[in-house]
Amino acid sequence: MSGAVISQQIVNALALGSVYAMIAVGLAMIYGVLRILHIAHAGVYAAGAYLGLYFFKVTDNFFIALVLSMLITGVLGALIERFIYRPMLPKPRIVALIASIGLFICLSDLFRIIAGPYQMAFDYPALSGQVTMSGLSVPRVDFAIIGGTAAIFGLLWFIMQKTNIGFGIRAVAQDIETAKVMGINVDRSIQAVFFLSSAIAAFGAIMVSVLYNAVYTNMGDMIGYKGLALIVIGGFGSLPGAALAAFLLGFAETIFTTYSDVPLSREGIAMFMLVLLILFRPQGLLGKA
Amino acid sequence: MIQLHNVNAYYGRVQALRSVSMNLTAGKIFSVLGANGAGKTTLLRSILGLAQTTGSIHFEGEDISALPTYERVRRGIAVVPEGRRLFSEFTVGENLRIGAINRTDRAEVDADIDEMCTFFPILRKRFEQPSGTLSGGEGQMLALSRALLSRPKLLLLDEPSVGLMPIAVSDIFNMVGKICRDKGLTVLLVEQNAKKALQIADNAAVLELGAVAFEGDVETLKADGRLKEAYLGH
Ligand SMILES: Nc1ncnc2c1ncn2[C@@H]1O[C@H](COP(=O)(O)OP(=O)(O)OP(=O)(O)O)[C@@H](O)[C@H]1O
Ligand SMILES: [Mg+2]
Repeated sequence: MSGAVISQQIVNALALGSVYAMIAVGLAMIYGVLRILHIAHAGVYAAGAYLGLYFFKVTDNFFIALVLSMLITGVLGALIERFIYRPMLPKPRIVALIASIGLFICLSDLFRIIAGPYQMAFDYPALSGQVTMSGLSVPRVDFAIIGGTAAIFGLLWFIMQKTNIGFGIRAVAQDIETAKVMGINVDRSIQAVFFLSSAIAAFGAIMVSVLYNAVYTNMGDMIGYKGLALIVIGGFGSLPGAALAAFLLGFAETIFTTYSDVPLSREGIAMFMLVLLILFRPQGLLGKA
Repeated sequence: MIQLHNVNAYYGRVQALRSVSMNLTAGKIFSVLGANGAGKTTLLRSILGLAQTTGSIHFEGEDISALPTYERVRRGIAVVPEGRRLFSEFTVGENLRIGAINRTDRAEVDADIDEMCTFFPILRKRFEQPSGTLSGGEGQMLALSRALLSRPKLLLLDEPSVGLMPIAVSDIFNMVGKICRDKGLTVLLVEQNAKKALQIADNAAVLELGAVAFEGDVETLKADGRLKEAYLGH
């Protein structure tokens, strides 16, 4: 096996892990502040792709489309929090969970009604196709995914660790009531979390759409399920844990699908990892016992 | 400086406060005594907007009873909650800073943190460590310092002496007394330790089953047979 092939696999695995990480970290942030499993995040992800495609067609400028979609998808996430989750918070968490599943189904039906049931192409020549150099051949968009994810996580780290908004969010994630009596506007912190996670999901969705040249109604389903598995694997609510689990999954999937004859789908691998890990480390990779 | 007028508080159908009225004087320490379940914590929660209440609460002349918690806090109310409620994933330093999260005078915040660390040297020693590593008494010192870092006008203390050895209780109460004298802080101190509380309080009230049973200045209360019998042991 040549060095080029290995480098190629590493780039693939990093790109895949980046996409998983963007979803998993968003879900972990939301779990962190509200202790809910945000199933509808998969729908938000698909909305990001549809919005990105729409704005790309309208403006013919990929970068503007990306930014607009991230902003609007962020607002969509914040609206979901405001009008669906917030009224349900005094009730047991199972209520919000059911609502989230319902919303998830509604969103994919909504996309079908608005955009039609058929897969749409997301053709952006500047990022599609393969980069070939010294025997190495990887999708060009992989580099955009890896670079974009690094930039986004850098920014997210800065927000969480160095700004008052992030400081407040970290306090809310530990103890909402005490955060309130510190004078933190908890509702605003939670809104910020939904905005950030949803905008990040939109970025990931647009990149994946370009990678596969496809936008479709339930494109978020599988990655959404995996995201939920990843926040368990990472240790509920731990952001570094979710990111670490995502990259591990990216590598595991890449290795297994390339080199093994095990008749397991990618999805099978993710769920298998989840089961194994929960058996041996119930608190997750970086969770506290 | 804060007036409660006919405040009732409810947990669902359970009524935990019954028509409580109180009037705290600025710069004085007001102590509320009462048995377990008397409604002491509920009283503080009502002032903070964390309980379902009726009646009115005026803070410095303004009716705050419809304001969300963070707005009340920003007007100058701080609390040392029951059970301390430190942020266990934050370091000692972060727990101090979170108390000052709404302040913009960074240099002054640093000076205040330094002052707290001088008063409670353990905080400086453990500054970079997770607050979970503190002992109960040390944690209480941190909870008090955290509350003071917002530079409140009114400080609510929920049983700060619980689980502390006498010398630590004295440290805490000395700090409260000092800030009160130096900065004109008003204090609402909820306690079961009536002896300690009455040593530093100016006025006090006794809560029984969610209602004020009697109240007055400390000298009068100390002489009152009812208080002696029920709370001071003889
Ligand atoms: N979350 C709650 N749900 C229902 N009832 C509650 C709740 N919290 C308190 N209560 C009830 O309200 C009453 C007053 O409780 P509160 O916590 O204010 O008492 P307390 O005086 O602070 O007692 P302690 O000294 O034990 O802290 C009690 O009868 C209690 O059972
Ligand atoms: Mg209490």
